[in-house]
Amino acid sequence: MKVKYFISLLALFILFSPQSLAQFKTKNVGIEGNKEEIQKFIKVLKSNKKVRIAHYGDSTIQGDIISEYLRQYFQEKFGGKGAGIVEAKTLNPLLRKSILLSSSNDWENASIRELTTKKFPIGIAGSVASSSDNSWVKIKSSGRFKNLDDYTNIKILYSNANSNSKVKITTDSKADEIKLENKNKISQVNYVVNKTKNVSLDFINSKNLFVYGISLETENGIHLDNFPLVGNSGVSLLNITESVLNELKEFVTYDLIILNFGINVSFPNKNGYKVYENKMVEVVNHFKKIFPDASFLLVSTGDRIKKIKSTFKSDPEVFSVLEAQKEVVAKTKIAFWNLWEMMGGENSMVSWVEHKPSLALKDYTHFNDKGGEYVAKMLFEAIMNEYNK
Amino acid sequence: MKIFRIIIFITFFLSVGLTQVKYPEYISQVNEHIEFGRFGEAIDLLHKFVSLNPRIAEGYYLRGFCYEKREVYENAVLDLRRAVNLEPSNKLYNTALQKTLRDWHQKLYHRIEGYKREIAIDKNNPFNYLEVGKSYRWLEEWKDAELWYDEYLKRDEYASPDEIIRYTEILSKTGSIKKGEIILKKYVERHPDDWRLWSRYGYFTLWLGNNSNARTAFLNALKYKPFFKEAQDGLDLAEQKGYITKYSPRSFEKVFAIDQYYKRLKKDPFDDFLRFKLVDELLKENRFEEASEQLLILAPRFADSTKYVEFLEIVEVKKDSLYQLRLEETQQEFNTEPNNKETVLKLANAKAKLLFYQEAIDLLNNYIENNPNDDAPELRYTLAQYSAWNYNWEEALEQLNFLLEKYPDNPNYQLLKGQINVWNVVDLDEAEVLLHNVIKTDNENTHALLTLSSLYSWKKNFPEAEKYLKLAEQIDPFNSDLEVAKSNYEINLIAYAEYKLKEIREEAGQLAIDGFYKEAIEKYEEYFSKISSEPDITEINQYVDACVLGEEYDKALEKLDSMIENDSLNTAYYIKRAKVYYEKKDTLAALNEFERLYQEDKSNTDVKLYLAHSNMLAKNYEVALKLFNELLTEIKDEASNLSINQNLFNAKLSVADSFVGMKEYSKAKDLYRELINETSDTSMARIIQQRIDWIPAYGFSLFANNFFNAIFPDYFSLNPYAAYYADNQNLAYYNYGGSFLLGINQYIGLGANFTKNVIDGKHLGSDFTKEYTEFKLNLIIFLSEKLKLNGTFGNFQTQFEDKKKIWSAQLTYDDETNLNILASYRRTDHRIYLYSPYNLKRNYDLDHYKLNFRYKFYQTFLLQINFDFINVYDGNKGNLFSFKFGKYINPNIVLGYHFSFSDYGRKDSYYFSPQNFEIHSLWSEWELKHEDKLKAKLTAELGYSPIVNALIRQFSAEFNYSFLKNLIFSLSLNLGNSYRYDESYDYFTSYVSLYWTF
Repeated sequence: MKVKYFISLLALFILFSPQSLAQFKTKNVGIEGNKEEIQKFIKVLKSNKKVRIAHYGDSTIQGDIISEYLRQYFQEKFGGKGAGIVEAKTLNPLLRKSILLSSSNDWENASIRELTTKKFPIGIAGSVASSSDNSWVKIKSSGRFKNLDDYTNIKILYSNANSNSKVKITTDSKADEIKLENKNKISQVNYVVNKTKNVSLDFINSKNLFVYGISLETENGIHLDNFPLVGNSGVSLLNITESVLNELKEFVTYDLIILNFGINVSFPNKNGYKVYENKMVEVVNHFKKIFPDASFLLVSTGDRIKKIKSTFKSDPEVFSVLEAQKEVVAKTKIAFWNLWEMMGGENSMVSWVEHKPSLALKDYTHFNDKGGEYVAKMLFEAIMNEYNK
Repeated sequence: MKIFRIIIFITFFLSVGLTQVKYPEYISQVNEHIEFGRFGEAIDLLHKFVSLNPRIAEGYYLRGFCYEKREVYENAVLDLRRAVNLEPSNKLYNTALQKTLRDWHQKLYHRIEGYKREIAIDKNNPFNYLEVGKSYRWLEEWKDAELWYDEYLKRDEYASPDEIIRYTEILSKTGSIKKGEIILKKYVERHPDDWRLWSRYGYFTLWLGNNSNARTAFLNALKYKPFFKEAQDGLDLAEQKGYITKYSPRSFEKVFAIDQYYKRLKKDPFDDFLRFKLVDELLKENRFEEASEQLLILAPRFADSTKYVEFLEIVEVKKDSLYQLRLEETQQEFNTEPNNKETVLKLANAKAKLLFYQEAIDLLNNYIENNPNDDAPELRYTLAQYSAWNYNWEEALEQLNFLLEKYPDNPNYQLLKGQINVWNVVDLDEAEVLLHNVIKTDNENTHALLTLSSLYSWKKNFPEAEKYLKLAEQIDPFNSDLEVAKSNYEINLIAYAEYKLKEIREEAGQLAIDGFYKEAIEKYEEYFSKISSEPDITEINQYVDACVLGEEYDKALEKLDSMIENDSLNTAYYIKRAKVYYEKKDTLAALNEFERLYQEDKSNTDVKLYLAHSNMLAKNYEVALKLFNELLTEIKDEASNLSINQNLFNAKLSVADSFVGMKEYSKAKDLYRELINETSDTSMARIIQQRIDWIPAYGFSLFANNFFNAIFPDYFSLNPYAAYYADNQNLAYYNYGGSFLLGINQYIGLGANFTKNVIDGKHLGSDFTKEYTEFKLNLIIFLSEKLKLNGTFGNFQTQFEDKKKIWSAQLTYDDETNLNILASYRRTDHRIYLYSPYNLKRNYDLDHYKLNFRYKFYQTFLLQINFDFINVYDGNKGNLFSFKFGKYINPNIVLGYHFSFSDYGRKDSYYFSPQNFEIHSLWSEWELKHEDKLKAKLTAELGYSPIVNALIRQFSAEFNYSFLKNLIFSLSLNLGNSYRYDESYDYFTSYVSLYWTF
């Protein structure tokens, strides 16, 4: 009798014990869409050539979230050091923990993130920084990612230098003043050092110089550029003009372009998904035209939550965004990785926030560092699955 | 179906029963509500009563009465008029109507006065004119109503179609038909989908005799709303069809199903069943956009229901085909009139309906380019909207900026610009101003209210965000954007608390990075006190690191102990705690803890490395070496791992250090050199080179060192010097000589010095001049870098006197910047200390005790105390006391007060031996230069001695100049003066020396 009584109690306990709304159940998700697309990238990876990845995204990747770990995994496996392209002046540099970036306050910045009417030539990072007479940038090692230290090449992508413009580059082991070329098109400084963890750039007589990015890299290996377009749906990438991209292409060319957008796609109108879809198709085609040899990988929106009365549920718009993104993939024949599905699908963001330790912020939209690490690991594994086939 | 029929039957049966049986109960219930002031409930009951008993006047009367009590005069008058119509002779009803009209009109006149006052204050606000116009309309004073509406329309170019409909009612009463036709023409062009405007336009053109235009207008109205009775009647009139009228006394009350449903849903927005019926009706009437809006409201609850999906499909399919058709029609119109603004706009609208925004944008841009002189505000506004819908924010803003420059008060332009700014989270301050302007003119604009709510959410002003959210909800609880705004607000609110905590954590981290450890620790503690859960290991590590760097080891240990108490299985906390022990130099605890952890998990190289380091700390070099060597092998296996590589480097460095500890210098040197070759870090290479330099001599070099040390001193110094003293009493004293010092080793120096002293008082006669020589051996012991003991012993000799022994001992502490202490004793001849020409033949010894203290503190203050005690063997004693306290007014200049006091046992006529002699001075030191090459200091003093009533002045200068690194030239000059009304004493001293070390 006692056993029966105990079993009944146990059953009742199991039935009615409080459970979290969402269980943390992620899923191994492979590369979908046009898998042949990713093979171009895999081929380059296997060739041991120098490889470059552009990771474009919205605030999901702000502060090098996801990118920092993805870069680490790639560099650990395929070599290469350095943080890749870094903006001279960036929105809230403190958010980035992988490197410590500080710049003088006299930089003027234009970005496709903002609704600027300044007609600056927007560069590959979706921004450009215009210097004053003596602007400076300091990039220090944060010590968090060893793969970001000991880089050997400091490259500066710039234009609009005047005849006296110079840059003083100070690294851990040496310092030099380098004259900037006074050309009508984009140029590059490639400063080679033995190894360095820190670098300071002092721009001298460089008023109105356009700096498109500072790349910290090595001669070989793999490099990943983190390009967060905060508050953007990805559509604004069309504002990086073909002419600028073509000039930059002389110095920076990509083997893989990751498009990681979706959380800002919800307005302005109800039928916007179709518009969004068409626009993103234009974006992919715009970049394909410039980088025909690159692979394109669209990473879907993650789950985002809407609070309806007292419950947290997946925002219904997430489904519309996902559909639109799948359409983009189908129309442009690029590769696709379903982040939403990997997270666990519907309502999964709740479990990411409630996970111990937490993997996402309480805005139920953005990953934190740990969440970013998890996403990067899963994405890296998905790509490696294709690599190992 | 059967059940459905039964329900209908029962409903019908019951309703008939109600009509016939429950009339007295209804009225009795209504009266009861009225008695208790529950007019809302009474009105609800009366709605049902009136619908069941439309020809009973009492229902209207009672409802009118309730409306009047609630001051809804418009409805009250309507109901009372209905009651009077049904029973014209009823005195009660007539009186009630008259009273209500009187009260209402009185209020309306007051209202008019109020708005006229507002107009006197602000002539440009169209809203005030509109309110006056409306009031006159209610007063049925049509002429005035027309006048004020005219004024209103002059000031609001974008009046709503509703207002235009009301205005045309007034115009129809005043007979201003042409005027009405003109404004309606403009408005049907602006709102081509509004069937009410088309119908009104039809009537006005009909009244002007233009049947053809009227016909087109009515047909247009019916295209958008088929079976619209007013338009149907108008069309019949325009087509001059035979018109059969039938008696329909309440035809004015006839309401179409759609209108009725809308009305009912306004009262009960949660009636989803009715909303579905409304969708059904709307679809029947091809009003797809409205149907689509209703489906959006139903979506959250019915998105999966079959009916919803079915309706949605119909809407999508029909909408597209209708829009396609419309596009084809407008395209044809455009082909014939490509530069007609209205046609362009129509075609752009048709394209936009099908989401061809880019084509619509191109079309509108094309018009603007071809017609540069046409401002085309409506077209530009449409272009701004489509650009925004198409994500072309900059183009949208370009148009809006153009429009706002020309029409700065237009609320539509302000709203769209405000929305774009908020959507993109830019220029929120500008958006705030714009959106507030919008709600000033239309406080029920839900778009503006919701955008303001989002704006304040971005600005983290949550009370304001909530305020505007609630306002929007009150006005339109089923606005499809409301739910999104509410969710955003609530999630932002939750996230904000987290952001604030994150900010504190980031601030703590930044403080630690900047080296403000104490402040960083406080911030971390604030963070820990505010988070709801336990901090994670990373946060604990960061806090502990800050504590370690700030040398607050106990705090770090306390935190780790509490974490271990809560999570005793987490090894990471134990490892961190052991590391804190290590940093704290608690060797025993570190050693025990790492040993225990190592025994638990021998594969943990980090623990093993620390165990090795702890052994080093405990000077267990052999154990440390063994562990390091093991680590070298273990770590080499994983050489590709960057962090292990760093450990490998550190391990090698530690092995080299332990070699030093074990005095195996050769091995240590080899390993250090290997490490220099390995490292790319130049600062690390320098550190390692320094360690090589620190290795003591060993092997042959040790032998050679010892040999040479035995023969050669560490250093040798030569120091010639000279001093001169003269006063205005014809005394001159000077000396000159030299010293040398041999550094036996770094601690001991041996030397000798020779000084010739001359006291010259020649003017007093030859007896007043004398020469003395001093020869002393000198021993210096350097007790530490800052502490030095110096002893001398020698002879003092002068002509015609016996040699005498003199000696001295001196202890000095000098940290070069902040603290100098000197304590000394010397035995010498008293004539060397008490200069006086009258003293020369008196041969007495003198003991001189001296204590000097000079301390610079807080980098701001200087305290200097000197005390001298003199014991003259002629029986006299004296003491001199000096106290200086000054403040640095800048890093190089100190200014302060100087008190000096001297007192001798007796006043001796042979030498200066004052009693109770004190001076109070203002004193300053100025360090002109403090460089390796040149040091220069000026001192000035101005004082007063009350005993002798004399002013004292003194000035001195000191210079040190290094010709070479080891050759220093020193010069000091001192000029003093005391002045009293009847005499003055002046003196001058100088000292020069050369110090040469090699």
